[in-house]
Amino acid sequence: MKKILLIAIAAIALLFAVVVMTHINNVPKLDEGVNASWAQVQNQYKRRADLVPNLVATVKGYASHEKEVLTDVVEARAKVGRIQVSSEMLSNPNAMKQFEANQNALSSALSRLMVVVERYPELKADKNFQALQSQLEGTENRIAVARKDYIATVQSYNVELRTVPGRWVAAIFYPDAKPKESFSASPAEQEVPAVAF
Amino acid sequence: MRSLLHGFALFFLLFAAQAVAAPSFPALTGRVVDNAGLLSPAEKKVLTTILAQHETGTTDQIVVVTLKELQGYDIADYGYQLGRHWGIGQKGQDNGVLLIVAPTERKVRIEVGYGLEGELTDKLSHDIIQEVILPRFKEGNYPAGILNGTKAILSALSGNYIPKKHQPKKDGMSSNFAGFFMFSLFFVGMLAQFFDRFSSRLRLIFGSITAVVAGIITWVLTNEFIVALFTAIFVFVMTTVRGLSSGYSSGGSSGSSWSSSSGGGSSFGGGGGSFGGGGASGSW
Repeated sequence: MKKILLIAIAAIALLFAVVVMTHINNVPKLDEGVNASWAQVQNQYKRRADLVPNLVATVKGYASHEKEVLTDVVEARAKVGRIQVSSEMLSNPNAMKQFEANQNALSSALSRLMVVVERYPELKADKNFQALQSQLEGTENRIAVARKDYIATVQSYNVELRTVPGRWVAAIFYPDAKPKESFSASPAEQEVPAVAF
Repeated sequence: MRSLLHGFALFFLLFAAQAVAAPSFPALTGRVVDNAGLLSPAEKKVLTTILAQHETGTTDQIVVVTLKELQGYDIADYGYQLGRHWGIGQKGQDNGVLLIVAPTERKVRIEVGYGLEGELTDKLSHDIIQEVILPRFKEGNYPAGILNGTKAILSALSGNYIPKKHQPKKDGMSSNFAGFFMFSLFFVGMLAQFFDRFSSRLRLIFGSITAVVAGIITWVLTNEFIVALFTAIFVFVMTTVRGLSSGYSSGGSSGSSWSSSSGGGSSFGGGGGSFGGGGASGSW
């Protein structure tokens, strides 16, 4: 009888130890994964922001009277530069929303600029402009990849924090860990661009 | 144990469900994967040779892929996922490049791994596609476009690229850890069986020592006192109670067969590189 009790205690202790051991490192590990993918997101957005001044200058050379679109781009670019989201702020929905709203504003300003550009064949033939265009295209592409990776890492982090047994382990060892904010497809992204001939 | 198995089953189910959402990828059969059948065997051989030569010199991995269809994906979206799936490029260096041709969708893309974005910039990729590949594709001469495009990629890469030393990154310790855990479990079982021969007082002493040692090792490894404490209690109970281990250690040994099967067969495999969406696309 005593032996059975001991076996039961040992089994429970073992089970507990196994659960804790297999999950003890998950929260910091996944947290680092989120931080790394967030750094990549910021990197790529920064890269795009760095392209803007050159792009604007080149477009101005050929289409200086397209003031409205150009000002929009410059203003959106300035706003993007003003907000910084550090990895500690990823659990803050407001900071994330602000960040996303600003980046989306720049995205739509840039895409409007690219539509306007279609009217200037000389600009489109400019070597410098072509280089910038291919870089912008590549950067938008990288942003898409970085965002996807970020969404995936945040998902696994949040799943770990919200499901058993990771939830228990986190509650004991990492009481400060909070679910992080992910990106959402904004209304502007979901909108299908209108094509007029 | 059964609940653990259930957990595993559930985990794999979830994993499988996630995998369904991703596009399906062709098998990496070599440096030239010609699923759309655009190249003759001789042309494939030439390409494979120059690509292999380039890898020996620089460790860069370049793979030419022709696809029957993109399964409704954008070529850029498909391309980086394919590159990651295959793990083209060396691990830690991410120096892989894919030249993807999708004749059905009339799309071509140069997908550049993280590590080569400096040498093969978006602008260069764009130029190679526009000036070298597309003119030939427009004439319907796919082999010439692919061959010259590949050569252009290689010369762009050799511009001033200095091969870095191959430093594989350390893998996460989780898989090692599981193996270590099973081993220690087995070891403790053996030890407990061995202790069964001694008198109960001696067993108590030896058991305590083993428990303390196990606890300290666990503490050092996991950096968590509570885990170490439970481990120590477990080891203590295992080693001091007579007969507990007799049925157990055999069970432990049968459960500890760890095998990792890596898909062999082809002489060429990805080095574990990753992609971040660099490169350029074009259509004709």
